[in-house]
Amino acid sequence: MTTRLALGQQSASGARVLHLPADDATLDAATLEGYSKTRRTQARRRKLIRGTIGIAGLLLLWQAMSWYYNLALILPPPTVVLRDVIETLLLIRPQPWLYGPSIYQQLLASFMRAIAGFVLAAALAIPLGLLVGRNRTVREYLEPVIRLLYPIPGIAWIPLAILWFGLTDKAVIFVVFIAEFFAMFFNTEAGARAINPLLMDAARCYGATGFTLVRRVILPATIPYIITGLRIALGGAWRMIVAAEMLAAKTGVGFVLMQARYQFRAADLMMAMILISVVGYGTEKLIVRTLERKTIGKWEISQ
Amino acid sequence: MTIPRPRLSRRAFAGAGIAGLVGITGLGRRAAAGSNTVRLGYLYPNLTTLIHGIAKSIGAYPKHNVAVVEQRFTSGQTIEGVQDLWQGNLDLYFGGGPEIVSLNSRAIESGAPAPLAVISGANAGHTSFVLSTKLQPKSFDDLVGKPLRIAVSSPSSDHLALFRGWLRLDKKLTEQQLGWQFLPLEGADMPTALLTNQIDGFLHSEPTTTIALSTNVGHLFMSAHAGDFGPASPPMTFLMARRAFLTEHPDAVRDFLAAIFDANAYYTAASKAQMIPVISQWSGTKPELLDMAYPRINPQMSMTHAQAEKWWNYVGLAMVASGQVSQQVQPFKDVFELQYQPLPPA
Repeated sequence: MTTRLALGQQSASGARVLHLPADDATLDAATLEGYSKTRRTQARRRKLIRGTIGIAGLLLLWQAMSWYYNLALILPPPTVVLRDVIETLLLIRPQPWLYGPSIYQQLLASFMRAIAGFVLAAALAIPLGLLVGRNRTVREYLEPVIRLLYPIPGIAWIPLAILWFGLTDKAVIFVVFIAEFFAMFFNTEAGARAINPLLMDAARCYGATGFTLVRRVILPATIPYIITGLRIALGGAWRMIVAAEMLAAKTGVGFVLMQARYQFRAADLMMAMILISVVGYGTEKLIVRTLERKTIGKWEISQ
Repeated sequence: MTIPRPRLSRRAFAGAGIAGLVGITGLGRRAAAGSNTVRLGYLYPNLTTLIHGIAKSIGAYPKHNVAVVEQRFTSGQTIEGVQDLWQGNLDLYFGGGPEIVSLNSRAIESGAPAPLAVISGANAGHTSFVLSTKLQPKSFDDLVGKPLRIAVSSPSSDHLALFRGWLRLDKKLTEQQLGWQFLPLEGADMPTALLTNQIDGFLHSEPTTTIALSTNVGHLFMSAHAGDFGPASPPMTFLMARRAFLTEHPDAVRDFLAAIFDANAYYTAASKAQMIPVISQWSGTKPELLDMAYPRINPQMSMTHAQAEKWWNYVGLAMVASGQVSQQVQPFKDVFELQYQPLPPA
């Protein structure tokens, strides 16, 4: 016998059951909408609770290790680091700020470099990816070159960037550009090559050619791939910018990290790492999610 | 037919584990029992640690019954060396200077005692301030407020620390008033960066200075050797020790320093012609360059109370004033332990 359960309620076995009354031949749209809303709310709540438990567990472990092993010098407890983050952001640090301009100027400097590298890489990698993905001749010319350059890690370009551009912003932006380019290029290329030929044929039958074909078919069909490439690239940009700033900059979060290291200030090191994480996450939300809404949402593409 | 797999019983496995541990512990004991074994970290190839090279070349360590286990760090890796010393991977570390004060300060701020001590110092007066040949100021005051890019080997460079001390004490200026940028750059890259106009000058020692001078990319604007950073410049490269090691093996430290002082005596007595091949082999620098650099090289290691006091007044107090070092740090309680040197009584 099946026990009747309300929508979304849990059965004894733990499985969620959607029990439809036998006499209901059709479910009205409002009921279905209500059900999916309940499921979404529950999923959000579950995610939030589990995420909070995960983070709280990590903080607890960190606090316990720091306290038990007396690691104040190399692993300051999270309470100390959190206080450092707050005091730094509110510009009320009791100890002097030893890292040049204020944290906001340092974050802004890193952000501007990351965005400059990101925009440059996107401006080159996306059109090139589409071209290589759709045009065999171009692909046969360019692919070997790109595949040869691809395995060189971004960090290996830093000495050359310093040699070419000196110890300037250009060197950092160049390294970020190189690190971001390949993720965007390969994703765009894969998307352009994966377009269903039927779609292309159908569009041509309707008379679409040239730029119309790109705008109406190729770009919308490739967008999910491009967005994935942008997301990967932006994460990589923050990793690379810190590495480049540690070597070739006088401002930025990487510079703060380097300075803190030279003064054995582990709390400041961790403060800078936390800020990178927050700003990186915020940048991803701001740029990639906005792009996602404006493209995938607009063109009603399912990912 | 199945072949039985040879199996290690639990008891045999545990026995082997215990035997291994006992063996390792025994080895450690034997190494310690060999008494004067010193694990020394130092910068190499680097002229600042030349006195250790001389001590090796004249057999001073075996003479004083010291076995030195070496670990080398490249130029600019001073921070790694100090960290290794603090973490117990080394007993002594030769290189850098301001880093030890920063580390001890962090320990004191967290309520712990200072873990490291400076037991001696070398390279008095080895700091040079080289400017690009394109810049020919009449005096230092002409450079104040100009947006100069000056290279230093690391943000905690001892040359930068001396310069900051001189700026604060003698010139009564702050870095903000100066308006310069100090860029971290490997010593070997400084002359090239100067040539390609990526920097306007650098604060470093030999052979970097002579390379820049001999290739005409820079000119010697200020030299600690000539007294431009104040009279009788103190030793700037420190020999540091873990305080735990000083307590446990004071004789090993004394014997090590006795060997170094033998090397000092040898250097004083030796002629330039005798020393240049030794220095060249140690630092990888061409003899022709060393011939030019020789007057600015002084690798001897020795540090008196007065010199330590001078270093503290110039460098240490500048670090305190900038907030890098806590005001709780006392130089002769938390930083210097100079009694292990075979110095005549003051």
